[in-house]
Amino acid sequence: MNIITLQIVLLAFAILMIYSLFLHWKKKNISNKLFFFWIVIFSLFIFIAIFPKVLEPLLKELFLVRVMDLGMIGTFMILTYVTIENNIKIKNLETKIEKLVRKIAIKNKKL
Amino acid sequence: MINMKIFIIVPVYNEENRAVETINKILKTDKNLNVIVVDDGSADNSLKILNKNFKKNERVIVSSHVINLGKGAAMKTGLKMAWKLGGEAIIFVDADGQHNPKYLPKFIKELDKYPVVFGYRKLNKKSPWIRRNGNKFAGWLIGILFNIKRKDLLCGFLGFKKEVYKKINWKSCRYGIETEMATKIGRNKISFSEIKIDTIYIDKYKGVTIFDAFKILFKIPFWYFAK
Repeated sequence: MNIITLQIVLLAFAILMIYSLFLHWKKKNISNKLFFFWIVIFSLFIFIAIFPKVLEPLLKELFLVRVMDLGMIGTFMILTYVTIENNIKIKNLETKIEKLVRKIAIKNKKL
Repeated sequence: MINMKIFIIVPVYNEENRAVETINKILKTDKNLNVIVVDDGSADNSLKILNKNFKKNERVIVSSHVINLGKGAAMKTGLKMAWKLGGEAIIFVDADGQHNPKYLPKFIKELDKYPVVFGYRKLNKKSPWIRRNGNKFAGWLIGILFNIKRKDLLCGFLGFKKEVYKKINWKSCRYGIETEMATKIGRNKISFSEIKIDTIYIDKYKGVTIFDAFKILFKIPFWYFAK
């Protein structure tokens, strides 16, 4: 796979994600603010995919050889953050659901 | 004669064939015992059958979760109901018949002396190898980390008094409740007694699986560093 093919794959992925976000925004599953935030993120992603050389000064600072390495590190960091955030949110949701279900169970028995 | 209001809590999940028999056996052991059954959003006819059999029975309260939350959550719902009804102690019995209610009088007697009473199974060579050794390993590990010596860490036949509930209140919703409870009992230095019970394996696809065991192991560091 040469650089052009990789760029096409990345662009296709970004466009697909933007389209998915657009559909969610239209269905009002996500707020305007969140939609705008993700559009900015994926626009940045597209820009870097088309012009990877803009990151070269940063590569030297970080002692990295390829833009790909920087992308990998960045991706892992973002994924770790998102996973932790999701985990905390799911735990909180589970606790709320548990309390609600228990409340209903006890209320239905009219103790 | 023990002057303590004790509730037997039976969490039920998909036990349409066994729950009624288990509850009837419990009721026969002692006329003063009251049972709280919590159907944990069963997918089968458990709730329907339980309501049909015990609707007019004043000694049995049948409640239900609208969705399945897990054994730990069902146990907690039963327990909250028991405290609301003036219960001073509770004993958990599995609905599938793994816990023989004939031991309930022994549990009640021991609860008069100790704040916590555990059942333990003598795991022999007939027990599945993985369960026997997994249980031993978990018992050893929890023993070292939390300073508690248990004969059967994963046995869910147990009871305790209301006075110790705050100290052993568990967060686990699914399997792992018994282990979490043991860690808290060890950490808080709560005295307990153990009663030998029959080793009965009803369904090898139910209960703690190897995957649950790994999940429990993964939780141990969280329990260790918890306040």
